[in-house]
Amino acid sequence: MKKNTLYIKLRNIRLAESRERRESRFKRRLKKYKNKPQTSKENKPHPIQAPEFIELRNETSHKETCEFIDTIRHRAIDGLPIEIDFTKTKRVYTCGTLLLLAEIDRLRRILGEKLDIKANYPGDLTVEKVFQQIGLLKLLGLQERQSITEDDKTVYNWRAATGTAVDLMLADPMFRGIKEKLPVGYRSIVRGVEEAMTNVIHHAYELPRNDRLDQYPASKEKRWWVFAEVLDGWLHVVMCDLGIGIPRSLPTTWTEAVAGIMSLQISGKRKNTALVKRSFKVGKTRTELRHRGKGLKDIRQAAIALKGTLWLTTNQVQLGYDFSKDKPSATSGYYDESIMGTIIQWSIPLAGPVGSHSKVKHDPNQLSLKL
Amino acid sequence: MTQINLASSFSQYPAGRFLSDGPSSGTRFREELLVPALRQDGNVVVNLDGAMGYGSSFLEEAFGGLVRITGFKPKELRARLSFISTDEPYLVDEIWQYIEDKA
Repeated sequence: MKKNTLYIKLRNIRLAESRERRESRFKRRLKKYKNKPQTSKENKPHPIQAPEFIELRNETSHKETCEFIDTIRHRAIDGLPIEIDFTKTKRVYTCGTLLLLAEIDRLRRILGEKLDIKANYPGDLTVEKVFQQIGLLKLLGLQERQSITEDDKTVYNWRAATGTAVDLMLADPMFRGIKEKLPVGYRSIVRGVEEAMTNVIHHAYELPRNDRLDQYPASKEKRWWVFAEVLDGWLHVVMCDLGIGIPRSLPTTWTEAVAGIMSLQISGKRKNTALVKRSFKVGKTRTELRHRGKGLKDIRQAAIALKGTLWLTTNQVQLGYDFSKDKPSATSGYYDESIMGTIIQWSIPLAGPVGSHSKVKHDPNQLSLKL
Repeated sequence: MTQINLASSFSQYPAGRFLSDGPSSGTRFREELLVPALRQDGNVVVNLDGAMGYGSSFLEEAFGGLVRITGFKPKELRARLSFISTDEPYLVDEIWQYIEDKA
């Protein structure tokens, strides 16, 4: 027995010494690697291919657009140079384009000079003009080389604005444009946008976004971005924030209203979808909330009053409401990828029912600049 | 009688609730224009025409806040406060719902 114990002791000593030698060798190699100058291969920008369709309504394109944006964000956070290749991008949709603009704008504001981002001009001329019109080319360090006139019907009417307050004056040119196109009823849109802005300032940035940028002071900014576009007889107004999304914000702000949903033993996917649907219905449920909580109902009301559609994409949840037909309808979807924020889109027909004024069959749920 | 033309005296884009929300919040309108007018003798007429739109957050904070924050009684406001709203007549009912807490 004594002999075995001695054997075990000696064996353990040998193993410990071997482990120490291995660790020492590893530390020496690690030190050598860290001190080694970075090779040109490490510093060389890794081209990121932009998707063919920058949009969020189609499952494949939603995945590709989110992965594309995620890649840009991760490289930026890791301090790596970014080169975006837009050669293959054929078509851009309002929601996807606004999300892309917002993410890059946010990275610029937070990282400043540390952000090393370049891009080539899109292969498609219309896409290039859209990027120029909304200020994305400038953000990417590209010269604005196209002349955009009223003849560019699919591009000329794009308008963009951004801010960090509930201040609609920041988007005044956009609202004046809307008033021209929608002389009767534009106030419903203004009201809906105002409520969306108020929600952004009050709720969207209540918690950290958890995108590895939370340690930067500039990440605390409560910023919104808004687009307006007129295309094929439809007015599209889109508002975006890069906050925590409605599913994360509701339990902290409307605890009682959503307690029932939170306690359900259902999947996260179904729970998040239920939370977002509930947010449109809740007005007040507790005494102290009686005067709050009308914002999301106002947002929906704009689409109802003007017989349009409303799309809400928040994190992985997507809801669609169609009030343009005699019988309103609603759809919901859940994606694997999160947009890490919230996008609200109102689409309003400018003259008559859907398709009555235009030869082009227009699907209000597929809004795009077409080739 | 005091008349307040909201769009020209305050903002074409009244929006938001709190001072921290932005420059044209319901709190600012209530505290800087509405309450001082109501604290004088006589009636107050608020003209809502001309603005680009009114969100419910602004309206509730500006007018519902008269009762909730400043302590006016709904009955007193009914007697002394009135509105002109030719562009959006339904706003008047909405405001009274906030004041009387029926919304």
